[in-house]
Amino acid sequence: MSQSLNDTIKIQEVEIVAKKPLKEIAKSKTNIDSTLILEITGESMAELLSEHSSVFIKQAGRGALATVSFRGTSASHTDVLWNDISIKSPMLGQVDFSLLPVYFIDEISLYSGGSSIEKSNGALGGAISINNKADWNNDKKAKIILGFGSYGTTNNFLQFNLGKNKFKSKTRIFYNYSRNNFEFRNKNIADIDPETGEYIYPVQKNENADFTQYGVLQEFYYRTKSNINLSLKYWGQQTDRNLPRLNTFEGSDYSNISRQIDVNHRLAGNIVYYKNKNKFTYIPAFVYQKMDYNQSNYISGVGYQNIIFSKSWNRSFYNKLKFNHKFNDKNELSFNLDFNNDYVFTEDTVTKQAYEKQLNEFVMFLSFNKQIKERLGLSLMARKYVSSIYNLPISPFGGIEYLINKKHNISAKLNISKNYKAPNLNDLYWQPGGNLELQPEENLTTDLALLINKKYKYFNLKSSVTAFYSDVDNWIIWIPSPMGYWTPENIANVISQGVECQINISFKISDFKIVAIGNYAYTDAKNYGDKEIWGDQSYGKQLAYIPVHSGNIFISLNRWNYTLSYTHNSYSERYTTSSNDISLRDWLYPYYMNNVSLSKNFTLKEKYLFEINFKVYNLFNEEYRSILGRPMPGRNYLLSLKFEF
Amino acid sequence: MMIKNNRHIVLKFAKIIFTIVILSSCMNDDVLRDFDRLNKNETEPGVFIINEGNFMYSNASLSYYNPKTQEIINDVFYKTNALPLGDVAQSMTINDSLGYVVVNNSGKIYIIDINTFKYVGKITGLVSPRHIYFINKQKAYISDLYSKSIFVYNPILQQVTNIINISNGNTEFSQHNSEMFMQTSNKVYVNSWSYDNKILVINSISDEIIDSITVGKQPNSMLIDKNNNLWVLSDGGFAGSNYGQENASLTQINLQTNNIIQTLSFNDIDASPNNLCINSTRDTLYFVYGNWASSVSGSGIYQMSINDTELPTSPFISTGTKTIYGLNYDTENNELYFSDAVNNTQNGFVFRFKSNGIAIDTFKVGINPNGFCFK
Repeated sequence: MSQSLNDTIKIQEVEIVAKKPLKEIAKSKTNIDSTLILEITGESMAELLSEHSSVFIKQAGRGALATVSFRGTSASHTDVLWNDISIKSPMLGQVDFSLLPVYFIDEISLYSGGSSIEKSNGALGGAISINNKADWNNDKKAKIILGFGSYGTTNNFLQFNLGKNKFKSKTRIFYNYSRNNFEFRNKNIADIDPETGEYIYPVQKNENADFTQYGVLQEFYYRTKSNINLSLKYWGQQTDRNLPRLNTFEGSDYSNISRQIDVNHRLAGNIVYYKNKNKFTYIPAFVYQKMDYNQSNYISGVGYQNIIFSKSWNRSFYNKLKFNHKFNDKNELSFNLDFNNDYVFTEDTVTKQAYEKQLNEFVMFLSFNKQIKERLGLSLMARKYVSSIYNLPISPFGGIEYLINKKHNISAKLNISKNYKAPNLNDLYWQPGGNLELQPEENLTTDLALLINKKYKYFNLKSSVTAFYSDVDNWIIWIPSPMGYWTPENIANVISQGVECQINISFKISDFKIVAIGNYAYTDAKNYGDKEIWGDQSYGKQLAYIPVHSGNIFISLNRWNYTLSYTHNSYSERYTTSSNDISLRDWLYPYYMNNVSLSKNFTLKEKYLFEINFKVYNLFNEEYRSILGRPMPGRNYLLSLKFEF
Repeated sequence: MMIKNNRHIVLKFAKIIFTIVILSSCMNDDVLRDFDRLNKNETEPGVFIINEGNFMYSNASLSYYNPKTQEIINDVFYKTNALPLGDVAQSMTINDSLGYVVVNNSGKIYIIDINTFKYVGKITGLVSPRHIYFINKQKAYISDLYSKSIFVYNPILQQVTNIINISNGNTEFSQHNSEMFMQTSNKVYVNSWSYDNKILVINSISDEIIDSITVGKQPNSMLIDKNNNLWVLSDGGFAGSNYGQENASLTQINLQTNNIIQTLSFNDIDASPNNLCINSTRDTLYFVYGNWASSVSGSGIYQMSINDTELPTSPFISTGTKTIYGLNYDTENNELYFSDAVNNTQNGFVFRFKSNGIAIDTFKVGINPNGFCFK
């Protein structure tokens, strides 16, 4: 009896080890649970990541520009790959996460630090990979989501699926709108009561903040018996936004009006051919991205006059060839070859400042993964980037993974890497200020992680603790000049070290199903740039806008088709100056945000699925600030109806 | 037994959630206003330092310095009023007992008591204000970067009473804007700085443009000497500008005739001199040269006589690699004040020198200190 039980357990453990793909050996990679992706379909990736990952999101208000920082690095050190294609702007080198609707995402993986070398060029902080998949086993034909929220918010989503065994088509369409005119008490300005002399903080509306976002994602999948899989995906989207003024503004109602339009068309093919132990993949892609931004003032006798009207767009062709050879289930070799061509154009029609640029990029990538022994795995990677502007040194990565305890499936990972990033095109060519003398940024980083992934009798436990150390040199920073423009320089050296923890527990107690997921990050990211500048107090100080502590908790209770979810997201104080000076005037005190949702599922005739979900944002109706000069909404609500068959 | 155990776990779980919710329920917004306010009555002469802050950060501030005691109080506006000054403080002008602080990207001017720093009023509804200049008790001019006009403000009625249209109809470059004001009798001179090369002349009685003088590109500062000549410092624009870049220059203009007496051109095209000011006897000029462009050698505070016919070749006070952001001359005490913005993202410094070039004091102020206003 006891003998047979041991045997059973052993088999299970072998399964767990074997299930893990070889290419995940020793990588710092985390996946966001797909149930969480489904849970917040009405929102953007900015909300998803702030609630369910350890990266830091800086957002300039509801629906506004949101950028992501991994481990204290900058927004331009984060890359986003959509089905293996980088969608960051070659000009700005960053991605606005408010433009990535969760509707269009099936899988999300985060590659932290040097582990991004597997996916991306120069993602010194990390890379976020978002994927779409055929989902051959899903036989649902259609899905409709309708959402109605505070501040005139409507979310509309429609999906229909065609095909079955060989061919599949998935079409997703959405249209989101929000007037976003929430009321807030503006404590950054005050009128003086003429009688009492008391301050009256005006109650204002968040004017000029509406946004409209709509798009389509079309996927075609085709698989044959002759080991060929084909897919074609198209993502088209437009976002029209008014950008609200700072809450210190008391100028003319008709001045300082800003508007931004983002348009993208992305088309990606995928041809996979399996032969024996080889896998060949070819990914051709085309990306067009456009951003128009204008700011205007009403001038009497003239009408609205633009003071900024910048138009920028890029179109890029990608060609990615991937070859993978599995010697056996313990050894694997991959070789990738990329050739990309970018054309970028940007101009300000007011100042007539403009530049255009062609960029050819050539990338080679080699990786070798080996399960050396039953308990010991090895991963080696190298990436080489050459463009028509920069020839970067090879970015190497090496890591080992060791299974410490079989019974509880506890393992340890250690990896070390050096990664290089070419300056963004705006850093080089922006008029005025572009600097052609810039050196590539580089990051030497190492991770040590301890992981457990175990199904116990009453609960499943998945947890990891990762310590990282990262030394970023030649960090590019734009410095303002008294001439009224900014210029980038390789001035900073940043040492970022810290710990990232993740815990995911799910258990079933009688009828209750409980899921608890927590993330916590400790980030000590300090500037060790030029020590010699007279009066400079920024040496050895935490980077601006990088919280030392950040974390989130997600708890979900499920019973009788009711689900109650609670999310909490918090950051410790953030500095707004490079010298970490704090005054009450610009203190960004610790941030705590609480959201709650309740949903109920119905199934009719085992075929029709209904879900009704009510979500409360900012549960405690707090008046707060999370960046300077921007109002934030109080308690608000969203009612969503989902219908699937 | 099993069920009891489960209940125990559920209870424990509920307890944890409850604790988290309680711990996480409150952000500290009220501490930003509930503090002991600064309660001062500084009647002695003093210096206000205007700290511009960072564009779009709303972190401008006002510092106050007492030259006699060498005491510096930073952030006096916030500490007294629990209100941020706003986004991009541009300049400050004193009229009687009131200080007018122009907050450019907040479209307003805060009015404060210059001894208590208390906020007593504001001029709102502006577009992009830069400076305010008092012609007399009933009239002030407010310059503006984008509105193609000068606002006429009545301090007694506390109202904008008129708008002087300065639009020249140009749709691209050389559209008129307004920056600083200088006055002789009924003529007010305004420099049109941004992408332009004009000094506009306004009749301060009729509030009309009566003349304009062409100077070097981008006249950023100016003043009038003891001989009633106007000196205009132009930075020449910037490299790669489609408006065109030319060498920076200093132009001397006879205000009787509005004719140019001499134009002195700087040799280095990368030089971007600014902050022209004058001493109490109005015979010596000071300006900042090579404040930022690292390719410029000999950066510092320069001094020249109004009788010179050549530009000075070496600095009066050498500033090395400092980011000199503001300069002004205290005509009461014959002292120079200039500021260092360091890396523009932290609190800057102010240096106080005697007019003979001997250092007196150095003190820390706010972010991007760009100017001084003497009380």
